[in-house]
Amino acid sequence: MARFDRRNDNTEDSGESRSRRAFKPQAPLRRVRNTKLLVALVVLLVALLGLVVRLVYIIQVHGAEYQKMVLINQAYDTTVIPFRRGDIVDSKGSILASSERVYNMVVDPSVILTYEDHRYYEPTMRELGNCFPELDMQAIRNYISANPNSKYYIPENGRRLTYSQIAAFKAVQSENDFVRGIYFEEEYRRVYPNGSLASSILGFTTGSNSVGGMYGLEGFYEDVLVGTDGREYGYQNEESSLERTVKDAIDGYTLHTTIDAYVQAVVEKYLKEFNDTYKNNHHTGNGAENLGCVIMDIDSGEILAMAQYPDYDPSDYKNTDPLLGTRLIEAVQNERGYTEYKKTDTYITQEVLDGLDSSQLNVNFASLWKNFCVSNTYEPGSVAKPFTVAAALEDGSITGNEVFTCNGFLEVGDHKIKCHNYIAGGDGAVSVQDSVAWSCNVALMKIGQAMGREEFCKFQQIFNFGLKTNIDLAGEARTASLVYDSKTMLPTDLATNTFGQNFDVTMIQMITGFCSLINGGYYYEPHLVNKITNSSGAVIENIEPRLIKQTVSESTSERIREYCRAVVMPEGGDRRTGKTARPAGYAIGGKTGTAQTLPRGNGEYVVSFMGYAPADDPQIAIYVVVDRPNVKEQDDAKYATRIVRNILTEVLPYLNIYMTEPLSDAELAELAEKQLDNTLQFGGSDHKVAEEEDTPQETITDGDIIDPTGEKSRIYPIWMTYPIDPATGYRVSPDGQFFDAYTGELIGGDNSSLDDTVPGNDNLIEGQTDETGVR
Amino acid sequence: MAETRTYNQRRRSGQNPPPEEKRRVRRRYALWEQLDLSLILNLLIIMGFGLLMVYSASSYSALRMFNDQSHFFMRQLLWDIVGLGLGLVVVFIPYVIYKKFALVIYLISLASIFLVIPFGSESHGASRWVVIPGTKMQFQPSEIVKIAIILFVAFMINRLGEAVNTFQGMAYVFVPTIPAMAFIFGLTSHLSSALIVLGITIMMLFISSRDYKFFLGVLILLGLIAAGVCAYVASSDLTGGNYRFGRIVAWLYPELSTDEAAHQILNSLYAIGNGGFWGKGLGQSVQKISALPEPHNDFIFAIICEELGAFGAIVLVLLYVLLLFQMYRIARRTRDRFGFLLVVGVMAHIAIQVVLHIAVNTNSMPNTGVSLPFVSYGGSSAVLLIVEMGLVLSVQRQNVISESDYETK
Repeated sequence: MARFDRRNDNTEDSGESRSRRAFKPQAPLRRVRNTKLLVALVVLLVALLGLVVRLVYIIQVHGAEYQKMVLINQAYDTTVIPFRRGDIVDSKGSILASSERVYNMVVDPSVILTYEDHRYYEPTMRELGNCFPELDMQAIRNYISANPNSKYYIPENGRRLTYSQIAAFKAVQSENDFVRGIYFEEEYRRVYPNGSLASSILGFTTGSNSVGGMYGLEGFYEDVLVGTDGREYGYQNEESSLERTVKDAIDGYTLHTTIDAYVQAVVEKYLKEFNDTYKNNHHTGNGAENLGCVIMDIDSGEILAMAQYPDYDPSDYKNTDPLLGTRLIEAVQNERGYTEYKKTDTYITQEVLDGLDSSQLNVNFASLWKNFCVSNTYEPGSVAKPFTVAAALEDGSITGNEVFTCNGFLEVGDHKIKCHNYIAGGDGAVSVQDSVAWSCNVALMKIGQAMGREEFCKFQQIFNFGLKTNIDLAGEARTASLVYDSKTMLPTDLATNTFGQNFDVTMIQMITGFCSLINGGYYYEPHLVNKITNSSGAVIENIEPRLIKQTVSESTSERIREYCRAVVMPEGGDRRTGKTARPAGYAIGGKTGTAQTLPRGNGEYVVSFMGYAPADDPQIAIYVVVDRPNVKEQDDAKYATRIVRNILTEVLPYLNIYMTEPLSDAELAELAEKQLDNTLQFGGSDHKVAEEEDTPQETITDGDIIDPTGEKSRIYPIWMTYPIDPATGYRVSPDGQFFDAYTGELIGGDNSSLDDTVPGNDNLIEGQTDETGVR
Repeated sequence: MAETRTYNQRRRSGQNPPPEEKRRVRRRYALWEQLDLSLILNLLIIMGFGLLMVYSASSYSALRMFNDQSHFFMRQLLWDIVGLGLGLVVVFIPYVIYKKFALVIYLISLASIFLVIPFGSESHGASRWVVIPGTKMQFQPSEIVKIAIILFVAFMINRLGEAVNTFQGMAYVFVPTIPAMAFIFGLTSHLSSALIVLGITIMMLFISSRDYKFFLGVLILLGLIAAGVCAYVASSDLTGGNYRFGRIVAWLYPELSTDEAAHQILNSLYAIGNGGFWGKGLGQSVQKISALPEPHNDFIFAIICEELGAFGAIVLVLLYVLLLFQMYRIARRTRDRFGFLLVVGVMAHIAIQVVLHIAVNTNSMPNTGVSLPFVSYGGSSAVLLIVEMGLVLSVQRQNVISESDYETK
């Protein structure tokens, strides 16, 4: 190359000089043209330099802003990979709430109209119409012709399609190259396979893609259940090697609850049965304003079941049917300008519903959706008596050997406070045990006076009355303002408080405190979730029972167990109040409650029974509240005890608790009728005993009570419905889990049931619902 | 010793060989000596870079439209190869013969524009392509006009000689250009091609005439007109206005305009901003996915900026500067006026397109579709630009040959 250069120089020089000689007129023009060529080149270089400067200027000054715009545009172009909201399963691994994959149809007119001859248009429209008859094809055509450059359109009826609905079209799409511009976005839909089962515990989700949990566990554990959306940048084509970054979704965590779906189903069955029995009995409306039941593990605070009536279906939470029969609630503007919600005397019927506007409807829905057991407050009534006695024993105000005299009333201040058998002239001599067993108000008031208000209020605090238990459910009520402290308490308040009137509690406060009275004084924080796992089954958090404090000593607890046993068992004598709560074959303890509501004397009562079972080795506590039963005379705790009896009759054998009491013929017949004969294997003695004089049927005094027998649907544990796999001898659930054929113990990991990535798995869940019949 | 050494060895050592030996050896120039290898190398680098960027920029839309991500790349590769073949032929054709055919070629090119009427393929509201009947192939007649104008204007100026410095002579030069512009703009609505044709003519005329003042005056006049239009547009109601003014509005206020042109410009700027100084990396452009229409064509520079950053863009600009300088060197060396004008015309053509393309992509001027020479996707443009480079190399070859002829006399 060096030679070229040198030669160039040579020729250029010599060329100039020679050309000047040979072509004289042209010579200046050549020099001019070279100069001007250089000028032009310089101008062009300056222009290019200017553009480079401009380029750098754009990046320097607007770079960040433009980068942001790209990200915004990018977000528009990318596909969101939705996370899957975590499941909620019961203690046996049965699914209570799950998420099912659904598909939204997206029409991309810009792709359909790619070519000028619109070669994709007609084939795509035809196949869409064939595969989705519910689509309004004319509307889609109109949209495409009006918005040819649009990239995203979800047609009406194109949302939340199941995989089986889109499968046919997907097959067509993969065969026919001319069907283009239709794709499906994934989303998840929350499903509650057991219908209304445990609805008050679960709550529901309101948002699309199953976010926005409200009430219950869905509301309380919202941040645990939701995951993080993933994103796929750019391409829809999965075969593309150019596929851009895919950021996977992080699925929500699964909640393993302490709830036992079988126990829960039994509880709900009997609450509903009660309602069916007393519905429209005394007046129109439900069998009671509210029915609530909590079953709790006495030594850990774990909730086994928590139910209420009326309940609702969380998949269809806006359905107004459950509102029928409830008291209409109205929002009233009070004189200070605040909105108050007041129960009216109207019971909701279909005509009433039709007349409600949406805000009035929402007020009533809010009352339906909230969890009665943790959110509603009421005066507990006599179920508070064991607490008063325990407090007095604990601080030494009584020894337990006292005998009180009951004349049917006690004068406190200017008030004459009556006992329950005021008309009969009182109970006469009442021991401490009798005061609980017979529910004597006078004896309790005297115990309270012996304690004094300071001590009494101290123990109200120790039992946590008025304060939240911190159960892991949304919407727990705090009733501190409805409980007295020693400064505000008057002698009459002390007197009425001793038997559970004049202060408000929640069900969960009562049963949590009661568990501590029974289990030796250990106050556990009540909880529903004992394990949190991620979507692949790895444990994120184990929630151990949390011991908060010791309320009473073991010796006091032993006394209370004794007294509560006397409420139900024969040692309490004929006047004992809770005998109708005893299930066949078991000894249990407990306390009845019949609380007056405000205003006093309106004849409306909250009746309840709080018990533990079995009596000699307490394992579970149960608390049933019947809020204003739909009967003429409401002040009868049997409305609650009979529910307790029915529930425990089925639940105790299921929990593998051995029967300790002899069975009478009537009881054997009852068990046979309930298909519970096999429970004899759990230890019930099969020798006949003499009929007790107080069989449940005889103790029913009210003439207007219909015996709640008749055809009952048989309820088995979910695992019992699964077929036995001949190869392994285990029962196999539809989602592939193995259960011990006789105990229902879940075998091996349960992760497979949580993985819902296989489209169509939803069918299995639905099938499970049908088979179990648990609703 | 002296007898055994070759001519070249003796020349290098400064010895003057005997006259008879000189004559014998100098006629034999190896092929690589006749061609400007550095220019060819530079051209191939730019073309290779172009192919790479066409693949990167077009793969997504190719996949979406044709289910084949290398669709555009393969076609561009094919046309580049066809162009190189044709260019190689042109290199070995003595360019002097174009003096004879310049008028014919010019007329044929004008006629080809009229083919869009029966055989046009419409795109973006204008017929710019002619479909060759019976085939799927199509070409852009305006690209043919550009090379024809270079040939014919060179022929005219060469013919005019010193007369080119007169006003009448200058007017003559525009005689072929004006109808070419009119037909291109009138029939294909391709404003940018018409402007490029005008630019090529003006630049060839400027370099071959003695005058500065006239061109400076024209430049100032054009600047004043442009400023006047802009001022008018800026002061007038932005909602009205026709298509061209709409583009000026889009240029001045891209954020405000709802025009498609403004949308393109904004996304081009976003791409540049997104790339920053070092770029997102090859193949990592986001804007090519759907924000920029035809990212492999009129907005490929923005994609280059996004993927390779200002750094990559400046490297590419430097390659173009080198290419211009290489052509400048050939032009200076060319004694023959017609050959000189051909090189100047090609240089003008490439330079104007590079400047306009980058200017549009950086919103330095109103949006008009200009492709980036040797890089943008487009068969007609690629083939004819390579043929133009063949012309330049042909001139260079003649230079080498004629210099040797001259010296042997």
